[in-house]
Amino acid sequence: MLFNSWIFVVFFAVVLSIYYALGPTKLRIGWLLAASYFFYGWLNPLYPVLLAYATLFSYGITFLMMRSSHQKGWLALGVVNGLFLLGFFKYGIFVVDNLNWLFARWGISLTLRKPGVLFPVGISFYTLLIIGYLVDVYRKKIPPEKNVIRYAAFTSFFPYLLSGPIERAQNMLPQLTAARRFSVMNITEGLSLFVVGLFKKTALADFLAVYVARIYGDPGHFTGLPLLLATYAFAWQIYFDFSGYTDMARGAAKMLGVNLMLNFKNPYLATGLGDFWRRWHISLSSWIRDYIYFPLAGRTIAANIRSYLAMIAAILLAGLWHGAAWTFVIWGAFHALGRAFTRELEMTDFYKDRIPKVVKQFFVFHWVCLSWIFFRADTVKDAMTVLKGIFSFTAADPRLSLVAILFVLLVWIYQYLMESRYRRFLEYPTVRVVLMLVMILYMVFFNTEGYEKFYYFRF
Amino acid sequence: MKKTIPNSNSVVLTGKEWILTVALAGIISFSIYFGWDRWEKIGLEPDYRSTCWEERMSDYWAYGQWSRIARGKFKILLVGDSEVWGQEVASTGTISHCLNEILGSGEVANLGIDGLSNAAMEGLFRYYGRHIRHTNIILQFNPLWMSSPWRDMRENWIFHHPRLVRQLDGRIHYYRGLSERLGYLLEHYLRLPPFVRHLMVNYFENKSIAVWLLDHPYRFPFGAITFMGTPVMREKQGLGTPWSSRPGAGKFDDPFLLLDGSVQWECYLGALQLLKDKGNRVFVLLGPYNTYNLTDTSRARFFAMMDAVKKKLGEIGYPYFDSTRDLLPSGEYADKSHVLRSGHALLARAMAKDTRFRQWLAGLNGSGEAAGQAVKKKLVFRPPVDI
Repeated sequence: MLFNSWIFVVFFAVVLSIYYALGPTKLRIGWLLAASYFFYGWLNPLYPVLLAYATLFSYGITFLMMRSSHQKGWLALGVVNGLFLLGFFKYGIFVVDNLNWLFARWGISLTLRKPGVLFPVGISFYTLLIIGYLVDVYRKKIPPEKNVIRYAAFTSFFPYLLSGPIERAQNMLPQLTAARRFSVMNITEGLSLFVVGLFKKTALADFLAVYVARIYGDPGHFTGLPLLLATYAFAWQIYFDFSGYTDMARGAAKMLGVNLMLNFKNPYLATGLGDFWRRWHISLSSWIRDYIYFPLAGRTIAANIRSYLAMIAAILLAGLWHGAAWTFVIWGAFHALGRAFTRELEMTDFYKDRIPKVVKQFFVFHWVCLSWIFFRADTVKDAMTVLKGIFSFTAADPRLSLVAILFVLLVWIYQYLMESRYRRFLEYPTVRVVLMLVMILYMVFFNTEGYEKFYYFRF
Repeated sequence: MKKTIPNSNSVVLTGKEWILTVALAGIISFSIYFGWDRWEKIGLEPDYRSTCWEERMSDYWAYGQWSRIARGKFKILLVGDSEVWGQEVASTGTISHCLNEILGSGEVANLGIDGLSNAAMEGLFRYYGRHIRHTNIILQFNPLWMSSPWRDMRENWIFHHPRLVRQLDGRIHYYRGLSERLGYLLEHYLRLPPFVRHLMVNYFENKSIAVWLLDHPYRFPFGAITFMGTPVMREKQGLGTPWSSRPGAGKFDDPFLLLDGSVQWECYLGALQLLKDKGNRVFVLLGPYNTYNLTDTSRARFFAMMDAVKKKLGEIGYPYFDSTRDLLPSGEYADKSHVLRSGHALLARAMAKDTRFRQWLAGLNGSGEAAGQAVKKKLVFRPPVDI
């Protein structure tokens, strides 16, 4: 069930009405749980089985952990179980393919059978959510959740189940403990978030996706300029797609009285790669920081070898988390390399004060775009074709719609204004109402036919 | 405004602002929706047939507009599939044209749509047939849709008009997902989505704006809106040659179905009932259908099915004309159910002579008895059609 489908509108209207009609919190949480499993099972009836297993296993682990003197061992078992699920369903084929390639290269006459093709959408997100919970319980940052229904509602909460944000137990569980009163503000604010997200997805991301798919589908047939513009277009497509999804998730949750964390904060205005990761997929980057980087680096920001290695490992893992392909590893490597080279530089006064902001933004944006080439390309070979094409400095009519360019420019200008002293102007009621009206009318009259899946569903 | 969660943009509305926005959006949307009828011009001509072909066949909003105009200008609406539309003939060779030659120009309108099965027909009347009321309908019954279980939608088949068929019938073998089908169901009641599809079909080559702009990157979408409605399609879409001369011509052993349990038959009855509920007078045109390319056993099954159809129509009180029983020579058929121009003329002449049809014509809706009498007169005084 996609957020940008009619069936979701009907589903959500029913869930929301019954949620507020039910008085006691217990019933509401039970209802949320049922709705979330229905939502997930709509995609494939087998998906909820795996989610239920992951939930019950981790629920049991926290209790064993609390009652045992070998807490680390139980934590390790819980984490390994999560990683095993993720590894089996997401990386099984990738691992087998690479092993078979190695066997063939070494002359070993052995071919491993590929595992099944079931890929439960959202597994990457809820696995991290569960691992984060287990670690937080182990670190005694939060007490283990005793109520299995509430815990299951936390792991399966449908707004973030498929593509995040990757929430934290200390933010979510208290919100699921107290019954939220119906509030008009929650509804209006949530609806605003949802509609803006829907516009980002259907009007902007899907619009750019058509151009990107055409060029990246056969990169060898295009010259430098179209390849460059398609890369820019993809940078915005994935931003609109993923941040649009997040906005819709946060909007739906807000209408249910639940506040989810901010996941995107105008990332293409970042003035450094570190700044970029504080603005892009914030829930993942902060998760990586808290659960991978800090344990490896020893909770330090000092520029020593250990912290650099930890940072590189963390970013590479973030790349691999996105997908079981070498293109994602290279994408992660680009960011790791860029961050390793610029981390100290970004902290200098020279960088902070002497280099104009727009120059920093220009370079960060282009470095990120360079990495997106590997993220978007189907194979490493395709990515290299795109790179070679761009650096051939050849130009042919790119045939990128002027309307698309205008849209992106307007968004960029809007974001600039949002982070400037002119922000006040954007907050005038007339400006907000006109912007919302334009978005609604655009979606009503010019929306694309059919429902495009969200880009991040594949991760 | 005060926000309770952080956000990277400021487009967050209060309750009052939402009410204002929704009201404005509603006023603008419905002004466009209702104004479009007046702004958009259709180039009507005597043998107008809507361009409901291939990619344009899902433009049901335009079909609704054409049915509204046709109801005002014509006494009889002829509804059916591509045979009625005239796949194998020019617009001057259709059944409606040939009937007009006998009954008088401007009597019968061509409301055929390519691929309109009985199941789709029921949906068409249910969701887009609000203008088809208190008028006179000749409704085609094409036996093709009941020639096999897959044509009856019970086996794997990518049928036309997936939006119009029943979306939750356990017998139908759907090729679209449940989410999409529930979306279709909702869209019928919202009115705006079919209208938007009309804009896409009519002005943007049946593409989304994104895809259209990919082909026309330097154009501005508003510039494409010319306010010229669905044009007439004069040319034939088929080869226009007899079936026997076509490559691979042979005999078919189609099973033909029993009426009980047939989805298409049930939908046909549903379509009849919907027309009746809206105060229409309906005359059923059975066929035409090519029985020359059926094996003997298949032919026997075909006639058994048609006998059952006629019996049922008689029981529920619908007059009909059977054009399937050797009315047309083999050479008049282009394939299983499409007929050539001279075949249409023969069919129209035979209909005009048919007692039940003449009786039906005598009591036409609309201008009532007078209209019936006028048609009767024309039937008497018009010279025979030259074939």
